[in-house]
Amino acid sequence: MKTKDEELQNKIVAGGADDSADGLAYKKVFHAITVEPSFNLPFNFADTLIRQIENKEAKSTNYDMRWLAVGIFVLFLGAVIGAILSGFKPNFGAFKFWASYPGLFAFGLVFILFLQWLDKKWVNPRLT
Amino acid sequence: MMDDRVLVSQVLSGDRTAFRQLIKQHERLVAHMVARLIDDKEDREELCQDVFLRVYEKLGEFNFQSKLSTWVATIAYRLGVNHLRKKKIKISDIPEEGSFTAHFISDENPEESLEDKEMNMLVLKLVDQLPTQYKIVLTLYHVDQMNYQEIENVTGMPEGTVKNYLFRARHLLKEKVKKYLGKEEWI
Repeated sequence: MKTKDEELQNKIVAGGADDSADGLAYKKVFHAITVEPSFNLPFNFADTLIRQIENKEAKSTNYDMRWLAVGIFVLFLGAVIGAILSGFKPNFGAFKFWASYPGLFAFGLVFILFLQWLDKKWVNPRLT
Repeated sequence: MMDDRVLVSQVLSGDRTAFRQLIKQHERLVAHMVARLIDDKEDREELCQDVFLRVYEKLGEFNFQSKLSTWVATIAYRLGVNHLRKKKIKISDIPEEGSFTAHFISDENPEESLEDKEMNMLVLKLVDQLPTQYKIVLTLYHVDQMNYQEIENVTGMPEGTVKNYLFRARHLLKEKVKKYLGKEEWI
């Protein structure tokens, strides 16, 4: 029975005609099962979803920034308490020589900022 | 239609328009699958949202081993099945062939003649009564024009099982429709 039915199904899928009761019934079935389910999503489904994602991401960014601020504050507090408890006195020793080369210092700073800008503007967009 | 690789890379770079396009390209496929799996109309839209949210979260993991639509359909199928499990709707068991066939095609007031439109509605109602796996295989094959390999990727069922479910689902529907047509063949 299965073989006969399989052959019949294949025949009708291939567009063949069959006037037997099975053939006619299969024709009706094949016609009906290609009909799309009647459920449709609202026309603004994509927009609603994207808004939802944006809200979620904004919330998540705020949350991350809050934790970053807390982290920086705790680090700073720890450094101050550590300095007080250990009697630490800041000494810029090796870095004092910069005072004799203010131009070089300024150039270095500007050059690093320029490289960062180049990276953000030209290199990163090409990588992603 | 935009190439999958281009579309995915644009979405990953944060292009919202590209993601809108991805949704538009796949929303019918997802809606078909969800509609076949879930009866509750309110749950359907929510589940479709969950599917695209998951697609957005996991898109970076998509490795182009299949078509993007197959991957999206896989997510829709898994979330749909999880939803049914949460609602404690049994989906894993295919009923025993003999008893289910007898029950499914039992002769309960078949009307004498049905117009084509009515017949389509009748068959679609019958599709809803089929086991979940049969419904999903029928929909992916006949409505979304996926091939056996793609259905295997989406559902995780071996190709032989897909073919078998497709055959059995059509056979069950045919037997029932034959009763309605009142042209039972006497051999």
